[in-house]
Amino acid sequence: MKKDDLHETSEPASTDAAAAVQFMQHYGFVRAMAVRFAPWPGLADDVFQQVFLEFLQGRERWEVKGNVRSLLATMTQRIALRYWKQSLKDQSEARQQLAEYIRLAAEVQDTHEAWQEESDALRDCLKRLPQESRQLLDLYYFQEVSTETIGERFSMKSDTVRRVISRLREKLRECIRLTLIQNPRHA
Amino acid sequence: MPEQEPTALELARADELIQAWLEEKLSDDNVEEFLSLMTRYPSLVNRTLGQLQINQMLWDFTRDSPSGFVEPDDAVFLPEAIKPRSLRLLPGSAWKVFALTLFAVTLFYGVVWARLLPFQRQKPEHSAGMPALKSNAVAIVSKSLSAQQRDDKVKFVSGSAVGPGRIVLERGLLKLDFFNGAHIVIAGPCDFEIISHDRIFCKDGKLTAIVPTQTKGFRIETPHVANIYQGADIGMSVHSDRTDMHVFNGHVELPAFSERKLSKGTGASFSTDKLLETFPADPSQFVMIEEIERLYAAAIAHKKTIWQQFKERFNRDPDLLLRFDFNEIQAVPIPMMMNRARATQITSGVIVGCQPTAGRWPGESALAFQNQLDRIRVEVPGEFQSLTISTWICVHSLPRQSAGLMMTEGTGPNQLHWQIMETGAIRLSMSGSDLRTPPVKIDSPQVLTPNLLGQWLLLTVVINQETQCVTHFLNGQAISSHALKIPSALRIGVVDLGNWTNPVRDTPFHNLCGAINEFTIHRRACSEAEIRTIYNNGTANLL
Repeated sequence: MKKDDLHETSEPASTDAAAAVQFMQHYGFVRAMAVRFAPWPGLADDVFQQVFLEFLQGRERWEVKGNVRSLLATMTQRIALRYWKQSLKDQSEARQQLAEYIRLAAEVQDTHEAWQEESDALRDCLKRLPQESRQLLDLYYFQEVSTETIGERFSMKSDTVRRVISRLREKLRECIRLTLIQNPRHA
Repeated sequence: MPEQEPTALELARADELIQAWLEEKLSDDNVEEFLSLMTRYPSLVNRTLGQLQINQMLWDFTRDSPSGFVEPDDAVFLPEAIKPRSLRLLPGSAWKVFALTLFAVTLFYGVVWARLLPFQRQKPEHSAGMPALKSNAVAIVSKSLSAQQRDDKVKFVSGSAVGPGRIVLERGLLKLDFFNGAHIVIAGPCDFEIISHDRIFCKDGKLTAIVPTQTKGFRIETPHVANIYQGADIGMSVHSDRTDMHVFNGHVELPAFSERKLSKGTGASFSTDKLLETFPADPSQFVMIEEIERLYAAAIAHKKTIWQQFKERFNRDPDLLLRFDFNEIQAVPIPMMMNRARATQITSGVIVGCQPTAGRWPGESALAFQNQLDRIRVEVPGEFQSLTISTWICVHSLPRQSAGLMMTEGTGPNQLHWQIMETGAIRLSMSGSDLRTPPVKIDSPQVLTPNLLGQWLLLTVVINQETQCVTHFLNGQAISSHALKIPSALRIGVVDLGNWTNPVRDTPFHNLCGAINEFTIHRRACSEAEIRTIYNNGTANLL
């Protein structure tokens, strides 16, 4: 990204802190872009962190200013592509086929501009889940207990645990959608 | 023609495959099945992408929120069978075996302890030497993101204590937790002074503050306005001619001004003791506390990834004899620490008594040495010309004459004792080639000062046959080097980590009061550059 690519200007990001603040103003946008252009488990996280670091590292060279959304969009897309290629390099042909299929589908979708709002709505939706469902998600996400171990402890097949977790996420998706429609605070 | 929808069975299968995909546990057959389902039913692609997004958000929550998805009341209902792993070091019947082993060990050491009790009592718990932790600290640096002072280039370390004094922050972000409960985020460049546990002065720059009601008031002064805050979240921007105050939560009482109160969502500009104007509060001008937490979590997660890649290479070092990373503990039949070094026959160490505690990286564990009997026992056979011994350690206090880091059993010829003295010096002692020759003791200067207690430190000692030299290191920096005639064959044998098995009469206990997160032994003298690289890659501080 060259200096000419940046058009809107206001205060220069003269310090890491200022650059970090600028970056965080676009937190949701970068997260959403990372998921859109690197739609593979765990990869979006790496992309996000790399964008953050490169953004901080480049602040002086680029004289990043004011509205940095277009810069972040380009950076995220470029880094996502790099990571995407790296991660697929050693994968089987079938896996590469699946990955490309998902990536092409994701690429034609719009970026979730309302990532932060959806994330806020998700917090509310989580609270509305039944206690057992929250406990299951807590075990899997917070305690990092594998689906196999959860299955053993509940005397269930791991596939059943997977199905339950998937359905819970699906419920949460629907809840977010309804929340954003019904509650103007989130939208 | 309407798009075909999957049957209930197909949808159930798709859900299983989506979750397996998110766990990266799809077999090649599963991959083909998943792809085939998606090409047949395009709606499943959206379902997959939607789930990927929610999955990402849920993982984000685990970094942002320490409490989990379970509400406080839920915890009561969590059945024993699904208690988190961290609470269940040993599953089921292994506890019985462990309890019996612990009972036997405790009985043995209980006898030793009873015999040594009179001598132990002669020595006060906090003996002279290392001063008791007397400090003028009024706050703790809870988060430091590349925070650096202008003059002396001091970098702040998360977890370190801060006393009164001026701080000219050149760059970075600093979150200070004051002892009276106020949390302040300072964004560099900022010139401010900590006056006491409930009072600061900001000359220039920006800060945000969360001042809960429990603080009983926190005073923030600027050249233009001085006020006591309580029960409010505020942002302050101090310029040469004015101070802008923004109230994000709660309200601010202004007894000295005509506008007696600023409510949530409002702000005001002040020149010297004069209110100039009011305006809507604008949080986008400030680094909010949640943002620094999020930034910190992202930066730490990235650094941890780098460390994980580094330690994989590290484990393959052909000269690495031993590397305990304290993360994977084999629980059955007795607690064992597995050796991660690849090119070695040493397999494991036996854990006696130590309990898991938080490690230096989020989500990783260490072992706490709290009890006088806590230790790890390991055997390192062979003879070596040079050695590098290193540990990531958090020292809580130094109540004993010495705290064992790595102590060989007994005092046979050419054996090593590596320990922290109560003075804060690090000592390597080496017994002579026969019992008539007294051991040599090589002490570093007093490096463990009170403000380093409670922080994760990398301690290293290098015994270099080639240069006939012993060098102590702290956090990757050489702190002292000592010429010494090093015997041609160094032995380690059976050692205690964090304690000593053969106490002598006048120094009954040598247990460490703290936690160990990693322990390594190389059968060569690592260079200073190597040790610095290990520190730079391994520290969880954002320097």
